[in-house]
Amino acid sequence: MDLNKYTIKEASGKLKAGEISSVELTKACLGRIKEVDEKLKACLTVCEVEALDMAKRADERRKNGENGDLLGIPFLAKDNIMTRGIKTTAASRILENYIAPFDATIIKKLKIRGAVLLGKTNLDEFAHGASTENSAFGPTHNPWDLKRVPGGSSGGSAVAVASDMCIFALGTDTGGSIRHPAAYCGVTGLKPSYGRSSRFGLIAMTSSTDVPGPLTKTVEDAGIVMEAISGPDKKDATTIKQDNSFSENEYKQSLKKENIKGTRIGLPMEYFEAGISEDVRKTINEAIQKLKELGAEFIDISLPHTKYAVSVYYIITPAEVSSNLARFDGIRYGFSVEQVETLQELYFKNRGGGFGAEAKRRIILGTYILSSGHFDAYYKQAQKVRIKITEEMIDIFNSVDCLLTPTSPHTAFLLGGQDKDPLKMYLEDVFLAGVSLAGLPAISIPVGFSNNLPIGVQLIGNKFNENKILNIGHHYQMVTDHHLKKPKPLV
Amino acid sequence: MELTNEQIKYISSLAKLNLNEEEINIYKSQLSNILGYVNQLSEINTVDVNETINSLDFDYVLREDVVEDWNENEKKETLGLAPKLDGGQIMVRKIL
Repeated sequence: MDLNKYTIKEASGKLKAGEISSVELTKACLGRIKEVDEKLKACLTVCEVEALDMAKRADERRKNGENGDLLGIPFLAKDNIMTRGIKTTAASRILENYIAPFDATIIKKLKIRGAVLLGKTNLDEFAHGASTENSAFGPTHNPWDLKRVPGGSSGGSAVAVASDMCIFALGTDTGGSIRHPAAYCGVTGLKPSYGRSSRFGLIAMTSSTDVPGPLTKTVEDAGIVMEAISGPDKKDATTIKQDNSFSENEYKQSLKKENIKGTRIGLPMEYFEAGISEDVRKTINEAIQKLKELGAEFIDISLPHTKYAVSVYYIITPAEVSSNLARFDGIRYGFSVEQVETLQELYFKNRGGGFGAEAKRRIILGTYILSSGHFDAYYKQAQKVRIKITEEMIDIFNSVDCLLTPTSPHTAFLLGGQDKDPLKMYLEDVFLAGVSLAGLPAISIPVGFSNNLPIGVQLIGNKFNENKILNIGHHYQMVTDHHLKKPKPLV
Repeated sequence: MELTNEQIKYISSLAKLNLNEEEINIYKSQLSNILGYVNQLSEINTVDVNETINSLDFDYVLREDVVEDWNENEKKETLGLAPKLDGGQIMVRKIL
C-alpha cells in the first residue's frame, strides 16, 4: 500500500511498530503532491525541505522514546492559518508574499506533538466562498470530477485529504467552510464548538463564528487531531477554560463506546423540505436506516427559524469582515503600489488593487450595514434573530442527543456554474450557517454517491458535545465503507 | 431595495476602497439583490429579545496584559515585511 493513503491511526501504528519512518511517510506524501497537484491545484505552498527536516526530527524523537499519535504524521494547513517562516497568503493578492513571523496556536500545538507540516492549501480568498473559486491564485478542482468545484472555503484541504496528498489537513469553518468541502470531496470534516480550538493566528474573517478544525479520512482521525488542537489559549480569550473542557482522552473514550443503542437523533423537518436533490434525499435516508440498525432512535423535530439563518449570517459576516479587513492597508506588510503621493491615495489603491471581487463585495456590504441609518435595521435585528436561532437549537437538545441533516442540498456543482450570482453561492450554506451562528459542533461524514459524486451527512451536537457526534460517526464508519472509497486514478 | 451609484461610491469611500465604474455597477445590482433577500428578517418579532454581540455563554480565558519581548530575529522578520523602511522604522506617505 502507498504510505500516503494511510489514516492517522494506521500510520501511527506503523510508526510505533517501527515498520515505517516519518521520512518515508513524508516522502510518499510529497511524491503524491508532485504526481497529482498540477491537475488538482490544492496546494499553494509546498515546503519540502522544511517538511523533511521535521520528519527527520520526528524519527529521532521516536528513537528517544516518544510515542505520540501525531509524532511524524504529515499534514497540510489551509493558507489562512499562520505558519512561521512559510508563506500565509489567505489566497489573496494583498498577502501574496506575506510570511508570518509566528505560528498559530493550533500549528504550535501540532509541531510540539511532532506533526510534519507539508505546506499550505488553497481557499476562497480570506475564506469568503463555498467553491474555492474565489482564490486569487486560481480554483482547486474536485478529484471526483475535475470539471467540478471542491466546495469551500477549505477546498484545498478537502481535496488534499481525498486524494491522499497528506494524512490529514486543517481547515477553518465560519459558516460551513470545513463541512461543505468535506461533503463535496467525500472526506470527514469536523467543525468544533466555538471556543473549543484557538483562533489565535487565524486570519480573522468573522471573529464571532470562526473556528479551526480537522479534515480527515475517518471520524476516529478527526478525534485524534481534535484532542491535539483543542483547549484553552491565553492568546484567544474566547477559548473555553480547562475546567469546563473535556479531559485529554475524552475524544478517544467517546470512540470506545460499545454501541449507540438508545441514542436519540433529531431530524429537523426544515432541513428536508423542497430544494434537496432526490439523490441526496435517498442517500441520507439510507444513512438514517443504517443508524437505526445500529440502535439509534429518530425523532421528527422542527426548527422554524432555520430559514432565516443565511440572512442573519450574511449580515453579521460582512459586518465583521469589513472590520477585520480594515487592517490591510499595505503599509506594514502586503501588496503596495509605488506611484502614489498621499497616504489616503495609498489606502484606496492598495485595498482596491489588493482585494478580490468577493472580499470587496463583503467589505462594501458590511460597511453599508454598519453605517449610520442602517445599523438598527440590519445588524441589530440580525443579532436578535441570531439569539432566537441559537436558543431554538440549544433547546432542542433537551429532547435529543444530536441532529442529523444533509450537509448540502446537492452534490458538487460545475466550476464557473454559480460564480456570477453571489446570492446563489451564499445559499450553499443553507444547512450550515445556523450551526455556526449558534457556536455548535458539527461533523460532515461521507454517506454515499450520486453519479460518482460524494454526498455528506451532517451530525450536529450540543455545545461542547463533540464526543457524541464523533461517537455516532465512528460507529457508522465501522459498518460502512463510503469513507474508504477513493476517486479514480488521476494519472 | 435599490442602491444608487452614489451610495456605492459613498460606502466605498468610507471603506477606503478604489472601485472602477464597472465594479460600481456590478456591486450596485448584486448588493441590492442581497439586501432584498436579507430583508426577510424584518418580518420577525424581536421585541422580547435582548441585544447581545455574541453567543458565548461560557467562561472566557483571560490573561494579564503583559508585554512579551520578541528576539532580534523576530523583530527583523516582522519589520522586513514592510515595503519601505528607514533606520528600522516603517515609512509612510505624507499625510497632509
